[in-house]
Amino acid sequence: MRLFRIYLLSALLHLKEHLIYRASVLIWLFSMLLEPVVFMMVWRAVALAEGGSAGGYTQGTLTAYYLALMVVNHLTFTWIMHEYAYRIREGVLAGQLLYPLHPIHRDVTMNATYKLLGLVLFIPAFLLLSVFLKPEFQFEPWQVLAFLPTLALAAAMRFLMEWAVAQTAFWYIETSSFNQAYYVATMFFSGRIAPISMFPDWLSAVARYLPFWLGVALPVETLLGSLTPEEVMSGMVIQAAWLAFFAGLVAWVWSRAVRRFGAVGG
Amino acid sequence: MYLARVIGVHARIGILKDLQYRVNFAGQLVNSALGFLLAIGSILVVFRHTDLLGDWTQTDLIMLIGVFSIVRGFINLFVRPGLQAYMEGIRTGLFDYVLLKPLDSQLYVSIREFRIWSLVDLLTGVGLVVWSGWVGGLEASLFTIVLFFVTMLAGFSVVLAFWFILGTSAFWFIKVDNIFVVFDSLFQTARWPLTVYPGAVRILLTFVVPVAWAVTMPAATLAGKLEIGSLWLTLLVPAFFVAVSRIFWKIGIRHYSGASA
Amino acid sequence: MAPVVEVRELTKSFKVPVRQSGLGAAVKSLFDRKFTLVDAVKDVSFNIDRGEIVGFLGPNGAGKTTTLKMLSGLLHPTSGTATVNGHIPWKRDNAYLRTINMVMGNRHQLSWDLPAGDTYKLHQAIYQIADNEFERTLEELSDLLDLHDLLTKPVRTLSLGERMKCELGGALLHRPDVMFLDEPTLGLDVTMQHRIRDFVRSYNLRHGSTILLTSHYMADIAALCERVVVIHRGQLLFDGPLAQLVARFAPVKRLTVELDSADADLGDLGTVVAHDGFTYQLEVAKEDTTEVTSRLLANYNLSDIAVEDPPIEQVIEQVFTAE
Repeated sequence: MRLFRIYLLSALLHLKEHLIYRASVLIWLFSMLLEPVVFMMVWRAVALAEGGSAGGYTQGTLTAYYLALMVVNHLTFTWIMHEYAYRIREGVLAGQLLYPLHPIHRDVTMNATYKLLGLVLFIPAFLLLSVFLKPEFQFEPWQVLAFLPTLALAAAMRFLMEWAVAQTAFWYIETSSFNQAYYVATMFFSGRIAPISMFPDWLSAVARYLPFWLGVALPVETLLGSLTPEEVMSGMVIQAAWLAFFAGLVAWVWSRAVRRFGAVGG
Repeated sequence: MYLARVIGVHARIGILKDLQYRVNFAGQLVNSALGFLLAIGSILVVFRHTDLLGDWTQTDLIMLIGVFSIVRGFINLFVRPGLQAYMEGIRTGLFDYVLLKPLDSQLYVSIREFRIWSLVDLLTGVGLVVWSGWVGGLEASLFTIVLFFVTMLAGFSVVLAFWFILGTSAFWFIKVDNIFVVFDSLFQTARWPLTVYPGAVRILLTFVVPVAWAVTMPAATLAGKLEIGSLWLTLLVPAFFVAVSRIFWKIGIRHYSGASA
Repeated sequence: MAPVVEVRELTKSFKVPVRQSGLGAAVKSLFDRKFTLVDAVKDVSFNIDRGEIVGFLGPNGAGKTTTLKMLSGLLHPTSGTATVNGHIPWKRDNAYLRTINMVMGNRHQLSWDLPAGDTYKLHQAIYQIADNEFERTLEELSDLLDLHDLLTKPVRTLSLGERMKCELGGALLHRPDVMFLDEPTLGLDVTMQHRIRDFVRSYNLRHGSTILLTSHYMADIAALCERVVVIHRGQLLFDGPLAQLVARFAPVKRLTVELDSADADLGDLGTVVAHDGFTYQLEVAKEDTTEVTSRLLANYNLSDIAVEDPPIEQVIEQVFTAE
């Protein structure tokens, strides 16, 4: 109950903050929007050159894939790891440690409100692009129903994973290379460069067990119906396993990070 | 002569500064390597499913990525750090000292900072262009090579002018560091040849956000895909963007009110 | 001789957004931003002759810095005219910029990581200073400011005062005729303030440069400037010799007297502003000074008496808090 109240209040606060920095927020949202659109165009060009379809996707289904991915990626991504070194350096974290509340809660509401606000841009963009590019969606009711829990699991799992990754800033202040490595891994394995089935079979088989794919593409492919109900089920089980793993990792890394922070200072 | 001297002194200072932070060199190497991994990886995946993208072969695309890295190296070498310092200066008021100097402020901002480690990107780009030319059995005439340098120069000017058009908004909105995000995301479009994009988008990426055009032109020249009919654009587009950035800058300076006194 | 600086009815207004707290207000301001117009400088006119050191006085936000920035070409005025060295500053001709410079006490331009000497080389290139001339000027400035050991150390290792000396040195390498100094002694300790002050005075004597100076420290102004310009709420309140400023704005004298008693009641003679043992400080209206003095001599056992103007800080404070 106490936590709920805190969430509500801090959500309002963050919403206000985002509104004050609306120009920055808009710019970030725009850049998130552009990446999937570029890859969509590349793959549409490929499909066109190959007589209408490539790797089992037509122009219409490719468009549907990337439009869905655009929204899902927005809903599950975080920017914490790019900010963490700054937080430590500038003493923001030291301030947060004074509160009798784990700093992760603040990030939860900050992310949630940001995403809510982002939908104001993403939904119109989705509709507009749909009008021009004519995606082929075939929604079965079970796909839509299964989409929601996979999305929720994906968001929670990815949030904890990236929060854990962000903690490396306690040990390496120069985090840009590490973040870049993480970025390249997500680009490849989360289906943002291409639907994972476009990769060599062994690679796509491995990717389906990795949190990158589970954090973005699993909900997308569930919604589009390119997975069987069994595949979706097992996907959710693996998501849950990763979620538990990252929750443990966050707790473990955080306790060590705080000790280190106390030792070396901010 | 004067200009060469001023640039030379600034480059020297930049090198002296960067040599103090050698860790950045390692970081730059890792980041460049990862960047190439991503770029080449994407191309390989695409070409698993087709032989020609637009009318570009896989080798052509690697050449394009080479040109892309050269342009990015150029940007990171001085365009980005210069504009970053300028925006920072607007916020802290240090930009006042730029305006006090007896040389064109726009010129000064673009040559003031110099990040030597970005040469890694630039040189790898050159390497990729040469390698893809060699593998692709490129036979370039002297004319083609001259044309390549001309289009490259046009590309640099367009990108520089475009940065300034974005960056000038710092005169109005003090908090615009995210301009870098705008550029980076738009610059992603330049990883692929213009022909990938549908007609309307292609026009947008040539005349409104000319970054993809700036990279495609030189690569197309080398790959022998440049239509001589579109050569006039090589002069017109840079001229237009440089003029616009100039006007923006002048208006911006008039509007500049300094960080709170 | 024509004045170096001529300012006529210079005015600068800024648009300032009005922002209220609350989510509702934040959303509303997305669509409807409200601005108010603030006059930072209003109808200011003055002339300055070659070789003068003029002090600008005024509380924070009075418009001193804004005025200086317009004269150095950093800001465009909203209306009015000004010429410095025959140029309109905000046209920012290179020829003009070569003859002036500005130093701001709160903004340092020397590269943090490098020795000041390296940044000086940069200024040499930008201002196109010939090598022999550069050497000569550098030598002179190093002597005056005692820079010799400082120029080879990275700036980040210098103290604030040392850094300020290096900043000043760098700003003078091209021998500007007109210098704008905005709070040059900000945050420095008393000894360092003295050093900077001495330097400014001797530089002015040597080269006859015109110097416009703002400072929070009255001591700077009192030591350097024969003439002061007082700006308050953007308007020019006073322009003339420092002594006149006191005469004009302080209609009182301060009497310090020493008596043989520690509990005398001098309240009917004037305002007692301080009382410590046998020493009393009285403030009396200027025209009453003679009368009060003779009454003191007649009625009390005086061992000492001094008649002074009130401290300048106090006068200035009165000027600014009045209205």
